Amino acid sequence: MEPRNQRRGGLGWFGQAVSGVLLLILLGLHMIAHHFVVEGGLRTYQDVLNYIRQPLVATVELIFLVVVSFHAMLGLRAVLFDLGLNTVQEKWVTRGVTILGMVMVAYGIWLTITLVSQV
Amino acid sequence: MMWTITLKIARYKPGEPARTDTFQVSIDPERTVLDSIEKIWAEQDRSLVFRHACHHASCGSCAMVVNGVEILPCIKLIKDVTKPGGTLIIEPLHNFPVISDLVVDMGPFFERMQIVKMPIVGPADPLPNQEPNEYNRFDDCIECGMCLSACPVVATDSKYLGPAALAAAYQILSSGDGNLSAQAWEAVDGEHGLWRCHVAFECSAVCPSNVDPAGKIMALRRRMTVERIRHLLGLGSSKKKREK
Amino acid sequence: MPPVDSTSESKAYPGQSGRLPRRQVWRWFAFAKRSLGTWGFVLNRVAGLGLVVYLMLHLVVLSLLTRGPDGYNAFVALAHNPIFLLLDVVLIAGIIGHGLNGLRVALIGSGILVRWQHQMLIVLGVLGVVLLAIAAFLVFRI
Ligand code: SF4
Repeated sequence: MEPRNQRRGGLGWFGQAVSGVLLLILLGLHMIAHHFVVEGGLRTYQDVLNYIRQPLVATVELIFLVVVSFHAMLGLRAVLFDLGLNTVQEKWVTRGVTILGMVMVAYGIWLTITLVSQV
Repeated sequence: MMWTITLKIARYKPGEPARTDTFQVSIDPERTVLDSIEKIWAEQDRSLVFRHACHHASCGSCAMVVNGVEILPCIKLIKDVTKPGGTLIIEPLHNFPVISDLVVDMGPFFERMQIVKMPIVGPADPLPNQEPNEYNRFDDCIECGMCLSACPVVATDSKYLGPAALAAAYQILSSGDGNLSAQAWEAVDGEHGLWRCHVAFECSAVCPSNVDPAGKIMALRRRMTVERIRHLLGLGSSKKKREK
Repeated sequence: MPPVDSTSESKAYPGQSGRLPRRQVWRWFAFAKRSLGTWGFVLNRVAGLGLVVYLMLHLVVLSLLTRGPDGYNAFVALAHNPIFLLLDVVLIAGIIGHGLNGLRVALIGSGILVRWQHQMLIVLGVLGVVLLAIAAFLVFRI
């Protein structure tokens, strides 16, 4: 095959497929742990705090947040690229979703730290 | 037996606003949709512009959209698309510039094919009575453009290489020592190449010639994915295998 | 037109005549006359966009947690309202639809089971409905 270096078209698709499969697992866990096994379907304030303070739970939740943000932003990018944008617009879309994704993850980390350190 | 049916035909002449004209025609339901359009042209409106040649699904030039789906009107029987007293809504192919009425400019189709160096590639398997090494057309594709019309991605992304050309690329790659030019690779494996496909499979659903473009796109992707995984695992490219 | 050189701006191809087709976003969603594959495509697109919006809302709502027990527990109480529960079922439907169909798209897109794409949609559709029914039961039992 020809040198691959300039051909990155497939990377997005590949990332989307892999993160999608991961999400089937992570989101399944998230739904069960947060809603289906919980009395009343939603944890109350104190329960959330107790729950998120377990290191394993916090780690899994943050991994989930990273994967879900990645998948969501890559998906959004794909939908926008389907509009047949020009190269400048494409660049801005890629930048935009990257920043938005990073903001989401940063917010999640901040929220977790805030909650864990709350008395 | 004759059926009376209504045809609502999209009309457009350069410089005039688009409109829809309604015609009634009495026709044997065993006849084709193209027959009914020709009848209207012969008996009611000589300014109706449509394109056809072979009348038997080998030239692909009459393709149009009837009741929301791409068909070849030359082989579609009236009885298969409507009922007595029924209505046919007839439009030119989507996603192509309209020249007049039902005739579209096929430029977007052939430009795409040109990128992957189709329709003329060679040497392909010779047909009976054909000298080996004579150039041959891409498999069964009759270059009707219906796949481009049906594709939801082509509807918004005019840069998308689209079903027929991607199927052609697959065809080239899987025929003997065929390979694509760097430029063609860029188009096939780039942002607006085979990864833009979202698996609606509409091209394969409408293709009158069993090219199965979507199936070919997926086969191409499998090839690329295997290649990528091999690359990630440091196994190198599978080029050697292909060269054998 | 097509990306002869993907770095250059796309232009209408040379020598075009007649009207250029406009970008027609509504065709993404024009599935009525189309095949099952298109139904899957529309499902994935609608559910995917919906889930992105939901994800944002979800994250924003979680910020209530920083306002202490009162704010958050009030929200929890509100969320037990039947209308919210119904929305939960819609959300779960979107997740199941997007997830199962996404799995199908990933398989087909890797060249696996391509010939069975219609059948897969039907089988996964049935599975999805069963899962949704179970989920809806659990949501309303609460
Ligand atoms: S691939 Fe099929 S639908 Fe597309 S142009 Fe060729 S014959 Fe027509």
